[in-house]
Amino acid sequence: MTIHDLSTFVGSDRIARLSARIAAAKRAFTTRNVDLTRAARLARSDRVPRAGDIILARVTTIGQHRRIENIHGRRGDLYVGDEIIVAYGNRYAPDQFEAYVPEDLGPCELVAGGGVAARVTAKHARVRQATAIEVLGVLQDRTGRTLNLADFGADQHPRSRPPRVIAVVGSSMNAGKTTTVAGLVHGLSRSGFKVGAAKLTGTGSGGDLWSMRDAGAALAVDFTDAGHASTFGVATEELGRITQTLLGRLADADADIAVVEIADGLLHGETAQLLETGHAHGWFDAVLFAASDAMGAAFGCQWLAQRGLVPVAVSGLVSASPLASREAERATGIAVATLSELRDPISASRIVFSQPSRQVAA
Amino acid sequence: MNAMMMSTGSLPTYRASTTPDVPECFVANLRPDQPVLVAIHGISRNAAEIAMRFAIHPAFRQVSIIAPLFTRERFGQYQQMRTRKPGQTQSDAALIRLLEEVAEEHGVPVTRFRLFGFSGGAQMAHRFAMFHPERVERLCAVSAGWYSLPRTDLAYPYGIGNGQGDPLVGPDFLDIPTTVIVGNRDTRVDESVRQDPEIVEHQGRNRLRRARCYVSAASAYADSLGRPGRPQILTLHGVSHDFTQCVAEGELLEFVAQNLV
Repeated sequence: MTIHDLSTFVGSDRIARLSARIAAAKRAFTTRNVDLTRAARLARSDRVPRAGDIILARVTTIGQHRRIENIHGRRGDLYVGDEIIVAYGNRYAPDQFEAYVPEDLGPCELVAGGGVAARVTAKHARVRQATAIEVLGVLQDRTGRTLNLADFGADQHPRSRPPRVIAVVGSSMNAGKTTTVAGLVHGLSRSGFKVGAAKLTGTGSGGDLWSMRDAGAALAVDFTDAGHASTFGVATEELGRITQTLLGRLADADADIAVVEIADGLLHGETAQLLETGHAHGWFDAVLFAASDAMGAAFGCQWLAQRGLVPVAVSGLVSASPLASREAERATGIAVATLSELRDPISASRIVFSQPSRQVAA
Repeated sequence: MNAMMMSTGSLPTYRASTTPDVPECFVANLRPDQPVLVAIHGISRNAAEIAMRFAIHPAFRQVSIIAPLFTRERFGQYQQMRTRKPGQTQSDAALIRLLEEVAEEHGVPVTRFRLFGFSGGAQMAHRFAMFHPERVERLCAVSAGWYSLPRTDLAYPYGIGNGQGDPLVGPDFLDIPTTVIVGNRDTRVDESVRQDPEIVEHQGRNRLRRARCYVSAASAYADSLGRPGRPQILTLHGVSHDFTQCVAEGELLEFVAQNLV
C-alpha cells in the first residue's frame, strides 16, 4: 500500500490540507456518523476496498444521480469535477442498479443518491447510466486505519427493545412500504404513543428517515446508524445485529412502539432471511404487508403465512384502489388498510394491537 | 442474537365488537384469579394507549386490564351515558355487556371491578358509579371536564336530580372508595371545556376548580345522609390536561395504583 502524498506538504500541513479538502467536498448522507476529523491520510492503489470504507471521489460523468443527499438531507446538485465523500456499498435495486463493491480503487459509480459507491453490473432498462466517479483514495486515520462506517455504528443493545415492534414488508421495491410506515407512525403518534421508526435493510438514503420523522417518529434510525451503507450481501448474523442495535436505540429513546421497514420484496434474499430469523427469535410482534397489487398481496400473504407470519393488515399501493383492495381481501381474508386508515389514531391502534389470523384464505 | 431481548410481558390486544351494542376494547393480563381494572378513555379515544400504559406498569402486573373503545357513532355521548341517535347504545349498558362477554371468554371476575377514567372517561366513570354502585369496587376519576354533582336540586346530568328534587340514583355510590385526580395546571379553558351556565355556576370554569367542587359537593351530600364515605382529591404537580404527560411527568399511574390496587 502506498500513501498518496497530496503535495509537497508533510506532517500536519498535509493533514491540514486534507482537512480543507474534506471540508470543501460534498459529504453524503451515508457518512453522517463518521468523525472526519480523524482523517489524516488519503490512501490508494494496492488495496482491496471493503463495504463501508469512506472514500474521497471526483465526479467524472453525470448520469442517473444528478444530485447527492448531504448529511442534513438536502439533495445538492452534482457537477463534473465535484469532490464527494461517500461510502462503498453494494446496491440491489430492481428498478435501478445491481452493483457491488469493486475489488480495487479504480473508477466506479455513484449508485445511490445517499452516497454509495460501487461498480454496476446491471441496470434497469429505463434508467440512465450511473454517475461515474474517480476514486481519489480511502480516508485513513493517523495510524493508517481506513475509516469505515462500521467504526461509527451504534453499539448493540442485546436485551432491549420497544414493547411492541411492527415490521412492514412489501411485495417489491416501490410497493408503498415507506408510505405505509409513515402513515402508521403518524396514526400511532396521534393516538398518544411515542413511536420510533427504523429501516432495517436497504440502501443508505435519508428520504425514508425524513419521512418517518415528518410523520411523527420520536426517533428514526437506519442501518447506516449500525455501520452499513447498504445491507445487500450482508450476512444473516449481521442483519440480526443491525436489528438488535436499531431496536435498542429506539428503546433507549423510550419508544412505546417501533415501526420497522424491511426493504425490497419478500423474494429478496436479505428480506427473507431477516424475516425468518426475526420470526424465529420473536423480534417482530406483528407484520404489515405492503403490496403493489392484489396478486402481490395474495402471494405475499401466502408466503408469510407459510412461515407463520400472517400479516395483521395489507396496505401499500393496492390500498389506493378500492377494486384492487376488494380483490386482495377476497384472496387473502385479510383487511386492506388505506393510507387514511393508517393515519387515523383509532384505526392504527386497532391494526397494531390486533392478533393475526391463524391462516390466509386459500 | 439473543431471544431474551424480545421478552415483553403482557401487552394489550385488540378485541373487536361481537355485536353493534358491545364496544371494541383493548385487553391485557386477563387472568381469572386477579382483580379487573376497567379504564375508560377521553374524547381522544386513546383506549389503546391507556391499556398499554397500565399493562406495562409494574403495579398493574397482577391486574386484568379492560379498556373499552366508545365510538361516537355507536355510543353517542358516552361520557353522560346518553345516546343521541336511534340505534345507539347507552355506554353503561354497553360496558356491562362487554364485561360479561370478556368474563365468559376469560373467566375474569367482573361482578365488581376497579374503575378508572381520564377526562371524558372520568365523566363516564363517576356517573357509572352513581348508577351502578354495586359493580364498582374502587373509583379513580382523573381530569374530568365536569361532573354530575351529588345534588338533587340539579337535574341530571348537572346533578343527580330527576327534575322534581328527588334523586335519580341511590346513595350507595358514596360508599365507593373514590379518588379524584387532576393536574394542578389543568386550568386552561378552551373549546373542550364546556361552559354551560349550569356548570359554570356550580362548578366553576376549569377542571381543577370543578374537581374541588365535586369533592366538596360529594362530602356535603354524604354528610347530609349520614354516610361515612368521602372522596379524596389529589393534584398532580406541574401537569395539565394530557394523559401521556400525567403518566410521564405526574406519576399518575403510581397514584392510581395506590388507590385502586
